[in-house]
This record gives sequence, C-alpha cells and structure tokens, in this order.
Amino acid sequence: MADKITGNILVIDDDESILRLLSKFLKSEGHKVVTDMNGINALEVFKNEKFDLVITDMYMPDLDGLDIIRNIKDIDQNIPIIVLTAAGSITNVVQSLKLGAFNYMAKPVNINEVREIIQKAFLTNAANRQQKNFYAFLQSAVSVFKIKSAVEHLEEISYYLNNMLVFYGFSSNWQIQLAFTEAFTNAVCHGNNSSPDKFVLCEIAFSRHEVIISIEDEGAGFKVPDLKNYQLNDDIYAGSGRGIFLINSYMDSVEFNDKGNRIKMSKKRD
Amino acid sequence: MSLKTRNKDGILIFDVENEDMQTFKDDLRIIIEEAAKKTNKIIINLKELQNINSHLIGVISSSKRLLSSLNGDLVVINATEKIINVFKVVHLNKIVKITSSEKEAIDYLKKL
Repeated sequence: MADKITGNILVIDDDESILRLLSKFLKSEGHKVVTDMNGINALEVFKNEKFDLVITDMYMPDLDGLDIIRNIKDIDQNIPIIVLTAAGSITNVVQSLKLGAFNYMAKPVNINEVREIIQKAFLTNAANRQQKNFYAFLQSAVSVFKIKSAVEHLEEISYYLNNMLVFYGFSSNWQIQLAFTEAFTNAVCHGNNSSPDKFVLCEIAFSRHEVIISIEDEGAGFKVPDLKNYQLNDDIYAGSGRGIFLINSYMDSVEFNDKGNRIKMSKKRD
Repeated sequence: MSLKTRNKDGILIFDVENEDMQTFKDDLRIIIEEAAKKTNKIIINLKELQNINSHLIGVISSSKRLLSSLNGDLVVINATEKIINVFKVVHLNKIVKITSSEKEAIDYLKKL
C-alpha cells in the first residue's frame, strides 16, 4: 500500500461536534489540524498560515461555504477544498464544484470517506504540481492522436486542447475550440461518413506563440477550391458550409491538402 | 434530460439544458419540426448553453424558415455574448430575432 500523505488542514464548521470529530480523526491520521467555527475568522487564519487542504461547511451564519470557496480560491487557486453539506442539497454542491471545490461530503460524515477523499485530494494536487513544474520549462509540444471516428471522443480531446491552450496563455481559447470542434465533426460525419471503422488523425502543435492543428480523415476528400473559397453568400439558409466558414473566420490560417481530407489551421497567441 | 419544453400562452419554449452541444443527444431539428405541427411560435432558451456549433446554427436557421412559412416565428433568448458573436459571424442575427429576456420574446411573438 502506498504511504499516506499528510498535511496541514483547515476545518471550518459552526457545529462544534463536527469540528471535534474531524479534528480528532484527522490528527489520528497524522495531519496537522486547525479548526474554526466562524467563516470570516477562518479566512484571516488562512491568510496567515500555509494550508494544504480546507474542509468547509456549506451553511454557516456569517459566511457560507460558497463565499469561503471564492475567497480562498482568490488567495490560493490550487488548494483543494472539500465541502461538507446536508444530504440532498445538490444545487449548492454543483455550485461549489463550479467554483473549484475538489469534492464534497454529505453529513453525517463517514470517516472512511473522509480518509479516502483527503488522500485523493492530496494525490491530485501533487500530480497537478508536478505537471505545472514540467510545463514551466516546456517551450513547445506536439501531440498526435489517432482516434476512432466518433463525435463522442471530441469531449476528451477538447478537454486536452483546452488545458494546453490555458497553459500556453491563449485568450482566444473558445474560438480555437470551436474551430477544432467543427473540423473534427466534419472529419467524422462528412469525411469518414460516420463510419465507426475509420479513424481521425489529429496533430496539435503548441508553442508559446502559436497553435497549429491538423485533422485528417480516411475519406475520399472534398474539392479543395470549394473549401478554400467558401464564403457565406446571401442565402443564409444554405444547408452546408457554416463549419468551414467559422473555421476560416476564427483561425489565422487554414490550408487543405490536395486530396481534401486534411485541414491544417493555425492561430497566433494574442 | 437535455431539453425541457414549456408552453406559455400558446408559445412553445425549449430550454436547452446542456452546456455543450456535443453532449446534446436529441435531434433538435426533428423535435422542432414536430412542434411546428402544433404551434408556429417558438422560443429557444440558450441560458445554459456555453458552446455552440454549426449544427445548432443550421437547426435554428431551418426552424426559422419553417416557422416563417407557417406565418409564425422563432426567437432565441438568453444567448451568451460568445454565442451571439458566433451568430454575428454567420449572419444569423440578421434573420433570427434574439432577445435577452423571455418576456420580450413572448411580447414580440404575441403581436404576430
């Protein structure tokens, strides 16, 4: 079994019995623990001490869990936060995850679950730190993906693309994502004609100045002049070509191979 | 469920509940074509939608054409700034009415 990771944990809850229970358990697990019953005080404590993880109650009279997450993430974007919430309050859970909370635990807390979630949080954070250190000296990267021809795979590869774009500081992120989505969907649905036996080859090259994306399908190809010169004409209701038009609109350069089954597009960082 | 349907004063309102069109499993075009057999006034609420694609643009423009041919109309509401930007690029804003509130859309459709 892997060694347990320990750290300095801030626990915020206006219920003293929960604080006592968690504090006792976390200390027995080897963690250093600071507790606070007041959200505003807890933020002051957080500003003055280095913590590795925060556990906060969602409902407190002075400052609720969502405000605590917002304030703590303003100070330290990377710290994992675990939210304690009453069973069934799904709306606030979703909201807290959107604000960057790592996970949530329903009350009454299950000690085994606490142990498991905290270990996951520490491991994820360590992996993220390692990745960040790696990226810090990375000047450029090229990734090649051969993917089964299905739009369902778009989500995973878009997630990768988004992370890399954020890392390389592209502010026109969503426009590149849109162009990528259109090109990938074209390759799957039109190029490969939605055949599940075919593949799409994606090559994404990043540098600190530019991203170059190449997408190739296994289809017969399209007439390149039609693709290159595609413009929206007066017929806004035209049934096809909007995807290519969006790619041309949002990317700095767009090229096709002679066969018309590969698109190469690039965008410089703003 | 990725799409909720409401009826207000004979106007059909589609609330798109997905953040991303890629995870939208239903064929919105067919749903709207079916709906157009019962009403010629439709609102598409994009409040939850963060990312659009050319497929949805095609669905909106063909639905607009269909409803216009039935002497009705279609209004898009609560589109984000990003989505409106895409609409402008493909000139969809020239043919489809876009409002920021449901009330404004309903008032417009009631006058038809």
